[in-house]
Order: sequence, then structure tokens, then C-alpha cells
Amino acid sequence: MIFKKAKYSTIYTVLSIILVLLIIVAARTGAVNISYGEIYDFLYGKICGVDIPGINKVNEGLFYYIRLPRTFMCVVVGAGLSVSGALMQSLFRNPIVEPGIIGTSAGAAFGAAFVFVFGKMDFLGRMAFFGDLFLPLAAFAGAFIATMVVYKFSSSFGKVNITTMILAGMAVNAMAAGGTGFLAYIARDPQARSITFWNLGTFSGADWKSCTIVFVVTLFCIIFIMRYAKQLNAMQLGETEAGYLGVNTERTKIILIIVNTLMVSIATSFVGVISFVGLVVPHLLRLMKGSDNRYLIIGSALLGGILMAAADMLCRVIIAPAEMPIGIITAFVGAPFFLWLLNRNLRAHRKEGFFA
Amino acid sequence: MLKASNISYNIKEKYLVKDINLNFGEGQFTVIMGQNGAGKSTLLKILANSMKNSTGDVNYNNKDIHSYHALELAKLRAVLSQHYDITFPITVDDIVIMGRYPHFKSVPSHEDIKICEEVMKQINIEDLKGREYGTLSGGEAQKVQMARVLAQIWEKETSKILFLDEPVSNLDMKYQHQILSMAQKISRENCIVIAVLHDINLSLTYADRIVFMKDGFIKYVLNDLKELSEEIILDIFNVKAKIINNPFTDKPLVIYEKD
Repeated sequence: MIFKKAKYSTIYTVLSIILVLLIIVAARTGAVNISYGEIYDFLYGKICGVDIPGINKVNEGLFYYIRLPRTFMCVVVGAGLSVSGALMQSLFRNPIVEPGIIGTSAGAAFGAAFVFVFGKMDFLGRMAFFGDLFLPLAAFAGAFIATMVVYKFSSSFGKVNITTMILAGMAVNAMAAGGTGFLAYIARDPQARSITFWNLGTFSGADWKSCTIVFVVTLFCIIFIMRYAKQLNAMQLGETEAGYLGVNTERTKIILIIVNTLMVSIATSFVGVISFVGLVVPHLLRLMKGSDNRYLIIGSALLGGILMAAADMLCRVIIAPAEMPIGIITAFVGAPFFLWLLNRNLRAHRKEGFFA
Repeated sequence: MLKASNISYNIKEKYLVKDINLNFGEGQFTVIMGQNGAGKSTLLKILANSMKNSTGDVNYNNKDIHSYHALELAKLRAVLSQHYDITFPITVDDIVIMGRYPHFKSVPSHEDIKICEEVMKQINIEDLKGREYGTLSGGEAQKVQMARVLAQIWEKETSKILFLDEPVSNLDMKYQHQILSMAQKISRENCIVIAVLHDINLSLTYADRIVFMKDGFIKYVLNDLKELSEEIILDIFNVKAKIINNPFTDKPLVIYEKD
């Protein structure tokens, strides 16, 4: 019988197993390797509340307070960015959209850099009651403004023009990057260094607190986006056609853009700008089993987590004991993929002629 | 019953459609014709409630279309367009099941799936099941879209409305006839069918009534197709033509003079 729900469960199961295994491997790998036996002891001791004699306290601390939160952060951020990519691609019916392209990431980066440089100053000191949420809030504000500027520029008469959107995205990206660069320039040395490093993305600052904030927001956003899977599918026919199927396309678009901005900006505010993950992951899933949006969202969350955790692991071992910003790896892998996609896309459109 | 009263739509001073009054009854296949830019598609979009800011009233079953909830309306009327541009890979089944989207929340019921299978059987596209939509020919793709649209308004307890916006404009002859005879068949099942077509002889073969538009106005309404005259063709299309009898259908057949 056709129409039967396609067998996605196999893919979900395999991806989940790989994810769990990878979390363990990633948590033990780094400048100092922790053995699996030790990890077993740590977990056993923690869960059962027993003191295991002869345990390496330094390694235990390393495992619980550095490696584990860092690995979880990778998984959560990878999931969020990938779901965001899947969402944006479906929403704009364009295979080359991702949060980095429409200004979201760069806007968030600018907002966060602003807090880095001026956060300790008097006039912003009054904002201190926001506490740890100050940084993510500033990032959200920056991302939201950037995304809305791009959206407003590219939409007229209730329709979004993709070419204009990408060009406006370029302009906003350049402006936000300029702003961030300016902030790095006027900043005192340690701040500047953290901005530069962080502009390429890094998970080295991850702790349980930041991990929890990002996890809660990302989970909420992904569940919310899942509820729109059907509408996103219908929009693949075209916006007018989706309207004929009872979808309020304008409302769907604006709600999803806001939720997407929230998800991306919170992640960006803690780990910096990580490009191309959101672009690549949904395409890998499409190659596996089609473009149903429910599948793309769940699959992107799992596969995005896997790839990000793996990439971060690579960053830690490739030039150990130093570590590389993760953005370098994702760019080296993602950018050629982007070019390949662009080339394929151009070939497909050659018949109709596309000059932008 | 679909009732349009005093429909106008303008962008600044330019009226795309003006003062349209038309009623459409169940079981009737109406074709709207006219030159490019005559306002046919605009009128169709207004009647299907996808064009805002028009003046006048459109009533389905004596209820203003604006007072329907979007999902309620989607169960009542469906629209087949000329061409669908789908970016990402998707199977034929996934397209057809979209017709049932207004009817279920997140997972299709057995009833929904049964309806899709029934529609595909009736349209004779069972062999396309599981195929990748992008690999279909233009005609096959349009039949799949037709299946989706019919699945959307399948339940016939209340009368349904089917709009076709140039549904066969880039199809070969075989598919043109297949799609239009399907539409005609649906109209006989107590539905209102309204189509915009460009081929006068196709229209004469399948329509019960032809509405001719010019410059946003309705110029002629032919309830009896035999009333079609050479003057009407000249006035509407600016083409010299002769009308003869079509021996197959016993309806008028338009033949053109060389320009």
C-alpha cells in the first residue's frame, strides 16, 4: 500500500544511535583523553551517589564541567542551526538559504559584540538585572532587526522576492560585519580577541548554564516549528496555492521568521557565528528520503547535532593541544558544498534563464 | 450557488475588472474567455478569494466568502493553476495527499488515504504512485495536480466549486481533452466548475456556458453556444473567423482566416 507513512523511523533510530555514541566519544576526546572505563566510573558514581575509590578527580571535573556541557552545546546548536536551515529553505522555496545568508547570524553577532564591548559600562550597567540573559537578548535584538530589514526590503505586495532577499541579505551582512569589526577595533585587547575568535565560532566557553538556556530555547522552537510542518509542505506548491489549501501564508511566514530568529540568535550569542551547517544538513536529508518537512525538521535536529559534535571534536584534536575555531572547519566543508549546489541549481534553471 | 455582484478591482485609476454580475449554478461548466489582459484570471482569483481589496460581493451558498474561515473555504472550493514550480524533490503521493490537508490536523485518516487512492484510480494515474514529481511530463504532472484538487473537494454532501486557471495551456491535445473531460464530469456531480481557457474550440466542446470578457467588462454571456457569431469572435479576439458546425458535437466550430 502506497500513501503509507514512509518509513522514516529507521533513519531516526540510526541517527539517534550514532548521536548517543558520538556524545560519548566526543566527551572523552581532546587534549587529554579520558578512558571509557573512567567515564563509566564517573557516571556510575554520579547516578548512584557512590564514592568510587581511586577516581581521578581532575578528569572527573574535566568530564563533568568542560567536556560534557561542551558536547551537549554542540549537539543543541547543531540541531538548532540545521532546523533553521531546513525551515528557511522550505519557507522561501530556495535551496541556498540559511541563517547566515539573510542576516540573522551577523545581526546576532553584532548585538552580542555590543554587549562584549560596552556591557561593563555605566549606561548599560543598569541593564544588569537581565543578568545572564542580557547577552542573548542583545543578540536576539540584533538578529531580529537585521532579519526584519532584509525581509521588509525583499517583500512587496505581500510576496517575498528571493533575489532581492539574497542581495539585501548581503548588504545587511556586510553592515553588521562592519559594525562588529568596528567594535573589535575600539575594544580593549582581551575583548577584541574574544570577538575575533568568537566570530569564527567556538564552543570553548560552554558551561551548564549557557547550555541549559540554549537547550530550552532550541527545544521550544523546534517543537513549535514542527507544528507548521504541514503548512510548509503546502507552501512548496507556491504561496497562492497554499492559500487555496487554507494556509494563512503571511502569518505563517512572519511567525516562523520570528521563531527562527530567536533560535539562531540565542545559539549565536553563546557560540558565535557558525556558517554552512544549516545549509548542508537539510540537503543531506533530502538526498536520503525526500523533502517532507516533518521528516526534515526531526532529521535535521539529529543529523545537525551529530555533524556539529563531530566537527567540534575534530577542532580539538587537529592541532592539539591548541584548538581551532569551529567556523573554519564548517566553512571548509560547507563552502564547496554551497558552490556545488549553486552550480547544480544554475544548470537546472538554465532553460528558464535566470539573470539576477 | 456562486453569486458575484458588482465586482470591481482597480489599481489606481486602472480597472482590471469592472461591474461584474454573474451567477454560477451547480452542474454547470462555465468557461471565461477573452484576450490577454482582459481580466479573466483576475476575476477568477476574486471569485476564489485569493485577491483582496476588490469591491462588490461574492457569495457561496448565500454566505459572503469573507465570512468563511480559510480552512472551511478550502473544503468548499479548489483551484487548479496552469503550472506548478516545485523546488525540492517530492513524490506524487505527497502531492495528492496535500489535497486532504484542510481535512486533517497532523496525520491523515484512513478515510483521507482512501479518497486519495480513489481519486488516483478515477484519473487513471495509479501507475504514477511513488514517482518523483520532477520526473513527470507536463501532462502527467497536471493530472497529478488535478487529483490533488479533486481530493480536496471530494465529499459532495454540499455542492463544491472547482476553479481552473488556464489548466491546459501548455499541454498536448490528449491531456487537454483528458483534463477538461474530467472537469466536465465533476460539474455533472453537482459541482460548479469555472475555467479560464484560451482555445475557443476546446471551450465549445466542453463548456455549458461561455462568458466573454473585454477590457475588464463582461461583453457577452452565451448560455446557448449556438448563439456564437463571427462578430463576437472579431470583437473579442480581433480575429476574422468562420463558424461551421462540428459534426462530432453538433456545436459550433470556429475556423480562422489567415492573418
